[in-house]
Amino acid sequence: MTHHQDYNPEDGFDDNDIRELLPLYALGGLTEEEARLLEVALHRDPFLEAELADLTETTVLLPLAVPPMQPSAEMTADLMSRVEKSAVHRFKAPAATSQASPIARVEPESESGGLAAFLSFLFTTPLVTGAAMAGFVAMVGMVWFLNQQVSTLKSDLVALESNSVTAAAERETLIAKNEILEGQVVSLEDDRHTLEDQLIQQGTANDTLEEQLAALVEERDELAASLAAIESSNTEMLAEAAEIEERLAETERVVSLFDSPNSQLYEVGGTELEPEATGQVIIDPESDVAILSVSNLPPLAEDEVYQVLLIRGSEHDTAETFEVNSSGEDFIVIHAPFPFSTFDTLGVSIEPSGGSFQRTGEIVLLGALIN
Amino acid sequence: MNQLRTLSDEQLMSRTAAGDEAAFEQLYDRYAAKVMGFIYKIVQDQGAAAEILQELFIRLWDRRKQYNSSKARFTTWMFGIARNMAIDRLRRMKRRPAPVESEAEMEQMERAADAGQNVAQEVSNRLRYQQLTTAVQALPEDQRRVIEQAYFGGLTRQEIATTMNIPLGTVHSRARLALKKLGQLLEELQGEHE
Repeated sequence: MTHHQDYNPEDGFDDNDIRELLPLYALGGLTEEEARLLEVALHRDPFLEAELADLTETTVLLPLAVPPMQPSAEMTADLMSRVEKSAVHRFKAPAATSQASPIARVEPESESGGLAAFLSFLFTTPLVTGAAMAGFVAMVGMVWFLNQQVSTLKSDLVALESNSVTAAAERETLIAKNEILEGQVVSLEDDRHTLEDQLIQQGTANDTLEEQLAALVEERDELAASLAAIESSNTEMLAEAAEIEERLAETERVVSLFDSPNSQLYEVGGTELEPEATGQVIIDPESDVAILSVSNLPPLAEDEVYQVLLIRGSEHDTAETFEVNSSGEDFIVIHAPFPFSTFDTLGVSIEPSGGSFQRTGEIVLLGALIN
Repeated sequence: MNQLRTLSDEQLMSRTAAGDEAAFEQLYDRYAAKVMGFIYKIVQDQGAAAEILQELFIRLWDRRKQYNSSKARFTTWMFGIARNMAIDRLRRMKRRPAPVESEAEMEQMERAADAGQNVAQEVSNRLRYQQLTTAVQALPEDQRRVIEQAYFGGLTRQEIATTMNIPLGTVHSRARLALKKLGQLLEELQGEHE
């Protein structure tokens, strides 16, 4: 394909096209469709791939021909924060169960020490002993209630931590499954690309077959047209052959007329209208073919012809029409409706172009066919 | 972190894939300014460039396990994603990039240099940048424009032909000649400095 000015991607690319387009492919200057078709072709040809690699060696340097620009510190910090969050999400292990909760670490040891001091104060101070007894009973009840609450909360906390561990384990499992699925997605995408490539190749092959089919159909149509022309020509040739055969048969009949021992020659003379005109006719009385030779007849106007008259008594038949050459001569084969023995006179009249069924014009030649 | 500086991009990416945030941060420090400059070159809007840069590195982090060093260098992979994101934004913004050699870019280079990581790295970056800009500027104007329109402008070959009012075949030949010449110039420049 040497028409490098404009490719039609639907036609596919040949090696010359690809070599023309490789630099623009390396520069990212092709449409997606063009790039995909070119990639299909590249996979088939390691030499083209090597050529592309050479070009890419140069194009990959183009970004470095641009002066750098320092991003802001805020943007960098923001980015790294997002990455860190992502990393924590993906890589950090869940909180270990051995880590004690802040609540669990607050043991009532110091509290019980404080309570003992408080009780010691109450019971070693005589002035407050009576009132303290009532308060003490209430406080013991409150402490008991609070201890119950703490105990319940501890149980809830243990349960929550247990749930948390389970959830973390489930999350890890889900992450692992997600990674497997991501791998499968990548693999499926690769498969899809492969299938797309195959599809494109099959499409290209299909296009080629369609092109071949179209060429064959075109060739068939051309052959059919040639055949029709040949048939037409053949028909014309058959008609021509039939005409030739007819003329040959007539010639044979004329020749036989000359050869026949019954043939007779009669003179035909000009009438008052054309006194200089003369003619001779050869007939076989048993035949319906005769030969007439005329001379000294003047050429006629375009809308007029001479016509042979075959006369018997008061009736006549019209026969062949003819024109004379510049010398006033012609040679006519006459076909009569009956054998010439049935006619007694032969004449020639002037008739309108195409001849007449019955004579309409003046007679210029006339001669008897009887000795 | 000092030890990380000695690692290659691909080694850092391998660690990043295993969840090493420090390795990822090292890659960010190594390339954030370059990629930001590259994105800014395409979108010509500092706010948009910053947004895209942030999204890019979030995307690199999210896709860290998809990177395959046997298929492409890290920079090729990263700049490829960055370009796609920037071109997408550019198409939404309907703006076009400025030429490579503008004075504003030189000032941009100076500002970025002030924020550089260390002297040796900065000298190496500056040398590389000078080599590349020298090579790009040495290209004939019509070839450079095709590169600009395709790579930084995100235009297709048909769009370039229409924009520059030239036949499609001319776009092809200018792109080919430009890359060929750019490759040769870079080889020559590298030879001079080695």
